Amino acid sequence: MAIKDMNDSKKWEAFCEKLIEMSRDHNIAWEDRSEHIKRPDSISPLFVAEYKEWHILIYKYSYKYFYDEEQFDWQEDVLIELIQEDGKTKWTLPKTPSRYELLEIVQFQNANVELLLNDILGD
Amino acid sequence: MHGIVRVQNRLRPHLELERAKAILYLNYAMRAISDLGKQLGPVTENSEIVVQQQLLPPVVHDVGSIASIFSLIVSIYVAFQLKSVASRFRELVLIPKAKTKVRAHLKNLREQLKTKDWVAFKPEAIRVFSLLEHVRDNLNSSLVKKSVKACIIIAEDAKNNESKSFQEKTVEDLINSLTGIEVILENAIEDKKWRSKI
Repeated sequence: MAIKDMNDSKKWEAFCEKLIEMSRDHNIAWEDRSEHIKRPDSISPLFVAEYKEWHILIYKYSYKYFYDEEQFDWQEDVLIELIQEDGKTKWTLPKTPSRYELLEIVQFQNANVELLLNDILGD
Repeated sequence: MHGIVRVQNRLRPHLELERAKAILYLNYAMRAISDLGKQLGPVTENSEIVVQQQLLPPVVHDVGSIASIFSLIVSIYVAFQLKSVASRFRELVLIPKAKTKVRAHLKNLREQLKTKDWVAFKPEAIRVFSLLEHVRDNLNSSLVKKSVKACIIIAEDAKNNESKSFQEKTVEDLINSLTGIEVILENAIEDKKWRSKI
């Protein structure tokens, strides 16, 4: 990928969609690494997936959106990062529309919701 | 919010002074208009001719004409003074407000740059653009106007950018330009020369 494309939202959107597909098909496993990795602004567990030599991190965080110098609202968003093994950020992905869906699937799988459903409904 | 209140509290004595001046000039204007009205008398079919006669400057026939011309000059002078006071009053109110708004936009833009949120950057650039247009149209300082114009061009470019690929440089340029404006606005508040004009 040429360096000029590093902020090409179309390509990163395709990347996210591929991750969604791989997660749905269980071709990539997401693990809660909140105990080892710290992000001060995170409001969800920190999920990491290993793909070949890369570590991909996804989490929900909160931030202040300012309307005036001291007047703000707390807002939430989702961030995807490529990280080192020790949790340090290597590269932050530009935000894409499908990041919410990816986190939703990761959280759904990590909470074993499917298992709970099958267990309760007796399927 | 507290920032504006703090700055406005600092400027309160100047605002009070401007208000007192405005009231004084308004009193002058009212008196001058009332004097002119007395000179012209009740409105009749011939009022227009009377007014024209009263306002003819080269040939002055009596004391009444001199008084009415004098009243007119005073009215014009007072009108200019009122305009100037109103403009300075507006600046006193607008500059601290604009400064806090610029700071808020800077905080948001820095967050967007950090998290590469190009989707949120565009509406932010639109908000910056409208704020700067308002500042440009309502401030007299040529230094502020000049730097605001340069920043407006960057914000407009970002606002009209339809490409899917956003370069971080655009956000950085806007942040740098806004930082410059923040400093200029801060200096405008602190500037002793600007204060001494009040």
